[in-house]
Amino acid sequence: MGQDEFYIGWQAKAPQSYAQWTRLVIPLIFVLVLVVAVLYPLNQQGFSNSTSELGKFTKIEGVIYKYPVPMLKVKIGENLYQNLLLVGFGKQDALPTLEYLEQQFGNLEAYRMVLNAEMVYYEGRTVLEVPFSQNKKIDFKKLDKPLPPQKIESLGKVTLQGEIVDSKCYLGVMKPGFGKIHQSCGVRCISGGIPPMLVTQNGKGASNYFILIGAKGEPIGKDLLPFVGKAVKISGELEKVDEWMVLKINPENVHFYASTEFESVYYTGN
Amino acid sequence: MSVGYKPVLWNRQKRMYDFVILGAILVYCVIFIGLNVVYHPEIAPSTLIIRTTATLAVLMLHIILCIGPLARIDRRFLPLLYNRRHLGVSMFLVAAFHGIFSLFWFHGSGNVNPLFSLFTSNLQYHSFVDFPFQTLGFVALLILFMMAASSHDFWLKNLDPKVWKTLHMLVYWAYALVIMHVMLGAYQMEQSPVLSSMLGVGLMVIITLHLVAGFKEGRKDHQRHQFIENGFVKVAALDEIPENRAKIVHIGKESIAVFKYDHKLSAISNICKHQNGPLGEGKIVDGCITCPWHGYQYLPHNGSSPPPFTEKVATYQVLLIDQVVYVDPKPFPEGTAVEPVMIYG
Repeated sequence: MGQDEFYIGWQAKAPQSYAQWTRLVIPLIFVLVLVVAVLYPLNQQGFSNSTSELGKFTKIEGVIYKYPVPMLKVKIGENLYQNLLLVGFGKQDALPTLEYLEQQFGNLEAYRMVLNAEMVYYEGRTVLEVPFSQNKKIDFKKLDKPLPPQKIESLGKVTLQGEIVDSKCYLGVMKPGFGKIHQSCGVRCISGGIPPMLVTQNGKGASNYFILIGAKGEPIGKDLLPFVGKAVKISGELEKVDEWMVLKINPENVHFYASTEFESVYYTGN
Repeated sequence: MSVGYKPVLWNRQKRMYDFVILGAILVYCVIFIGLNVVYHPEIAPSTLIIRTTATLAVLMLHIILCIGPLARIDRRFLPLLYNRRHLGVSMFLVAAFHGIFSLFWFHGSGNVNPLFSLFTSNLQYHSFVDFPFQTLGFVALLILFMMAASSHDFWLKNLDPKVWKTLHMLVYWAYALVIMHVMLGAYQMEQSPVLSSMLGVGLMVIITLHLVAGFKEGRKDHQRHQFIENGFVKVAALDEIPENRAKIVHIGKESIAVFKYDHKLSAISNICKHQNGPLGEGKIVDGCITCPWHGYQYLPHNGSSPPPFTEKVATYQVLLIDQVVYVDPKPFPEGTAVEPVMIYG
C-alpha cells in the first residue's frame, strides 16, 4: 500500500491497493458464508417425521366424546375405531366448537358429525384442529344406535418419568415440539386448553404417550405449566380409554426429575 | 457531512457494497434452505424460516463486529467500514424477521397477548440453565432496532455524536445477549460439538481482534512525552511527519493530530465530529484534513469544515524548533483559527 493512497468512501473509486485487498476479502466472506450455511444443517439434530396439515381442511366423520379430553371417534374398519384429539384454532381448546354443537344437538354422543378439520399426526396419534369458524354449519346424522361404549380399563397406580408436552405441537405442529426451545410455546398451548401429554421412552427408541387429566377427570393443564418441557416424574392412576393411555394425577405428585434427557424407562407398580 | 439531510447518494462503491450484502444473503439462504430440504426433508417450514434467519443474523453480526477492529489493524479494511451501517441495517432486518415471526409463532394465537406471553410463559428467571432465553433475544432485538433506526446521520447530529456513539456501542451488549440467547435456547437441544465450536470460534475471533486492535491503540496512547517550557510537548522530528499526513500524540485527555502540508504545520483534535474517527490517520485532500472513516473534512488552520458544512474541532498551538515539532496540549475552542507554523528551508 503506497503511503499516499488514501481511501475516501464518497469517492467513486477506491485506490488500487484498497480495491485489490477488497477483491481478496469479499470471496473470503463468501467462503465463510458457505461454511456456516453448510455446517449448520449437516450438524443439527434431526426432526420427527410427524405431519401437520394446518391450512388444509379435511372433512372427517365421527362421534364426539368429551372424556378423557375432547375426541372424535372415527370408524376405520369393521368394529374398529380410532379416537382423534380435538383442539381449537392456534393455542386454544375446541371448547367454542363443542359448546356450539352441544347447544345445537344436546348429547353429542348421539350424533355422527362431519367436522372440518386440519390434521396433525405422528406415530398413530392424530390431533384435529376444528376452528369454530369452520364448523358452524356441519353435516350430521342421528345415530340409529349408539356406538359401542368407550372401553375404559383401570391399570393401577404407576410412576412414570418423561416430559410434559402439549399434544398438538408434539404430534406435528412444531419441530421440535419438546424441550426447552419449545417450553414457552408448550406453556401457552396447555394454558389455552390443548391437552397436556406425558411422553416417555421405553429405552428402545419407542415413545409412549399419556394424556394427563386430574384425579377426578377434570382438566389439569394449568397446574402443570411450571413442569412443561422438563424431565418430570409423575405418580397417578393409569387408565386405558380405548387406544389412549390416560394418567389421572394429583398435581402434588408431579416432581422434577434430575435428568438432562427426558428419555427414561417407565414402570408400573402398586 | 451535515448541512441538510438528503436521500443517500449512491456511488459505485455503495452500490457494490449493497450488491455484495444482498448476494451473500441470497447465497446463504439458498444453501441453508437447500441443504435442510435435502438432509432434513421432515423439517417444518416454520422451523426452516426461524433457523435460516437466526443463523444468518448471528453470522452477519459477527462480520459486523469484526470490521471495526480489522480496520484499526489494517487500513485496507476501511472500504468494509465505510458502509457498515448498510450491513447493520440489513442484519437488523433479518433479525427482526426472525424475532417477529418467532414471537407470533410461539406466542401468538393464545389466550394472552404474545408480548405478555414472551415474558411470562417461562418464569425461571432465577435459574441460569432454565432462563427464558427468548427474552434475551427480544432485548437484543430492541437494541438493534434503536441502532438501525438511529443509523442515519440525522440522528448522529441531533443526538450528539457522543450520545450516538454510546448508543451504538450497545451493539456489544446486543452481541452478548444474542450469544446467551443461542446458548440457553437452541443449543440446549443440540449435541453436535461442531455447532458449539462454530459459535465459540466466532466469539474468540471477535475477542482476539478487539484485543489486538486495542493493544495497537494502547501502544500509541502510552507514548512518553517530553515537556518543555510553556507547557509545549515534543511531538516528533519534522521529517518523521510525511507530507499531507499527521503525527498523532496523546497527552493527558487530549488526542492531537499534527499535520504537515504545503510547508506548514497545524494541529487539530484527532477526534472526528462524525463518529469519533481518527483524523490523524487521515490525509489532506484538496486542502482539507479528510477523516479516514467516512471522509468528513476540516480545514487544518481552524479545524472547521469547509462551508457550507458546520462541523468544528479544537485546534492547538504548534512550535517548530531546530527541526523538532512541539504542540501545546491546551485546546483552543472548536473552530478557532491558529496561524500555521511555516517550514523554511
